[in-house]
Amino acid sequence: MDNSTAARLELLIWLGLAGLAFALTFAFAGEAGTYAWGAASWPRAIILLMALFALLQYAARAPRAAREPQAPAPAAEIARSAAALLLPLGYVFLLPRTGFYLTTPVFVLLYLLLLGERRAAALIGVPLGILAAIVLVFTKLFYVALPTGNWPGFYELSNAFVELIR
Amino acid sequence: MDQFLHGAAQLLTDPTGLMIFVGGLLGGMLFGAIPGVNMLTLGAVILPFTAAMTATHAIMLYAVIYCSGVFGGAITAILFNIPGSPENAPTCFDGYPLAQKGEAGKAVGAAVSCSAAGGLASTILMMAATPLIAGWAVRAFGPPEIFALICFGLSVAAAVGAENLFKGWLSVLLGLLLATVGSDPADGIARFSFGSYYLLAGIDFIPLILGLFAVSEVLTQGQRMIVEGMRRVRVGLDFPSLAEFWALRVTIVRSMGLGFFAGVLPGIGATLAAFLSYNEAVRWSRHPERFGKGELAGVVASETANNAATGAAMIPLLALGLPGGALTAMMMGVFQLHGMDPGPLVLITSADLVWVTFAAMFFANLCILVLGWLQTKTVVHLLRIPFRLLAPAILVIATIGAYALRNLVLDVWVMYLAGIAGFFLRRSGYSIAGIVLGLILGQIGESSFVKSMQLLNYDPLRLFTRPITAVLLALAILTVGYNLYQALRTPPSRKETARP
Repeated sequence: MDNSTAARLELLIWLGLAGLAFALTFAFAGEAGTYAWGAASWPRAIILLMALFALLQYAARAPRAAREPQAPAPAAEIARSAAALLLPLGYVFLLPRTGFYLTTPVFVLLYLLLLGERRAAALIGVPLGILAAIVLVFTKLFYVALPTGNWPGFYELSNAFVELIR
Repeated sequence: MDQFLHGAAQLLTDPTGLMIFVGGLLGGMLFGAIPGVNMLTLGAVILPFTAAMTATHAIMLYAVIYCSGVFGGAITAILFNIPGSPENAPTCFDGYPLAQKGEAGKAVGAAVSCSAAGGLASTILMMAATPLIAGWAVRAFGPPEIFALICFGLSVAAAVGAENLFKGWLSVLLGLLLATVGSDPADGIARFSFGSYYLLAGIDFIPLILGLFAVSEVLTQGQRMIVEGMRRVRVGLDFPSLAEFWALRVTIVRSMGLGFFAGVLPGIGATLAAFLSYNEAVRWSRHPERFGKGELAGVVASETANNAATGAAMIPLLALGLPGGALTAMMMGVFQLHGMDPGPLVLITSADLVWVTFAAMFFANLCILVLGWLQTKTVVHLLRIPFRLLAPAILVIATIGAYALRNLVLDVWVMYLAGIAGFFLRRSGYSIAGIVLGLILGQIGESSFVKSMQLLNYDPLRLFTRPITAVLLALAILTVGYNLYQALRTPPSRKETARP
């Protein structure tokens, strides 16, 4: 993406956000209260300033010299970069379903692989070490109730693990 | 002096307090020194667990982390060109070139000594000044003055950490907008809550902080690792000589003064202190051309000033209830977790808490000097632990931190989405610190503005009839106007080269 397209896209994102937020203020603008200017006045002032600064930024952007065309990143690199962003989201999705104790070591293992770790000792030791440290500090010391999952089988396994460590 | 001795005695005779002090000291240094995490990560991760501590222990812990963490961030700035936090950013300018020249030990040694000197001077001044400022604040500061003070703080907050002024302002405004989610401060009318019961209380501060700082940092480092792979650094362990320190005495004293002055201003704190001090070091040097290429005075100026600002930043927090930066904003959260409102009355109603905290900050700065010297010889080796082993651990701990707050997976979603948003915002040159400052100051700002307008019969011009309010608002308007004028007037080609 060239510089001016990126700047235009950035402007559109900010104006879109400001427009959406402004539209949403109508949901509570008419509600009566003790404050004469209403609940929408402060957010609206912020939204208008946001739009103003987005326009100012676009107007004052620095024109850069045309850059040498860069070689596209390898597909594997793009896939790994995307996975680094998506893997944590998958982890959060599974957390209430498969439980913290069973999901976390798998997540840690996958993240290590994603970041390039290939040594068997690290791939086994780090997930188990992190789980052990968490069990010791958070479950046994601070009594933090971590999700045990709600999918059949996972719930029972997680509870059995919690019973075991307590 | 009696109060300080009383606070010191309380700290030294309380085994639990001492353990927390040592933990905070080592934790701050370690988290500041490990690439990819910093004192804010530590502060964010432990925030939910401080609910189980006494208020004194919790606040003291954060004060100690603040002192040791600001120093700790210098290590990564010098060795990897990764500032632990925005206040360590100017340290990169000369610290990293020094490390590249094989003089990392000298740069780290200078940072250790000057951080301790700046922190000690600032703590002593803080102990003398906070009660005076608090006494005056009780009488002089009502909602209009608080609102004006927040405007004054926000007027320069846009300059913190962003690629340019407009991106800085957009970051601050995004934080201000996020602060309006929940209920309005006057009548409790639901805003942007989408019918969610959980959003009525606003976006929770802790998951947002965890996401914006810890998660986005891991994602940024992880991305860099995927694209560039791991890099190794050559490490020298020499400490600077006394003659070198003596030659830099003027820079040290000037940086202490500038750091303290900037630290007192809410919303500014250590970051502006470090940048101001660095710029002054360049201005007054006989060899300004050496800066940016590995000049020890650059490291000294930045590190003395940012630590001098730590004690000073406690003044607006304790005396006025205004956080000066992200960590003091977390301290505000700790006060709220314990059902307390920081402000002038804290000094009267919770004198023990305040003086134990002051004593802890004093001792923390003394310990930095000793531990920092040891760190120069040891922690540099710890930095050889590959980040890919630390990254998943940080994510898992952050997940627990977000979840444990209310036992809600929703908070974990907020954290990761904030982390991904933070990742893209950082890549685009926006300031995470600006967003957090906007979020924190926005809540107080709107509340004090609403109260002010009700008090002043909805006439904003009457704000200028109160002397303190008028001066602060005028300064804020002048600052914003001047910065905007400079930003619009400077030709784009010069903006690219304006930074030292």
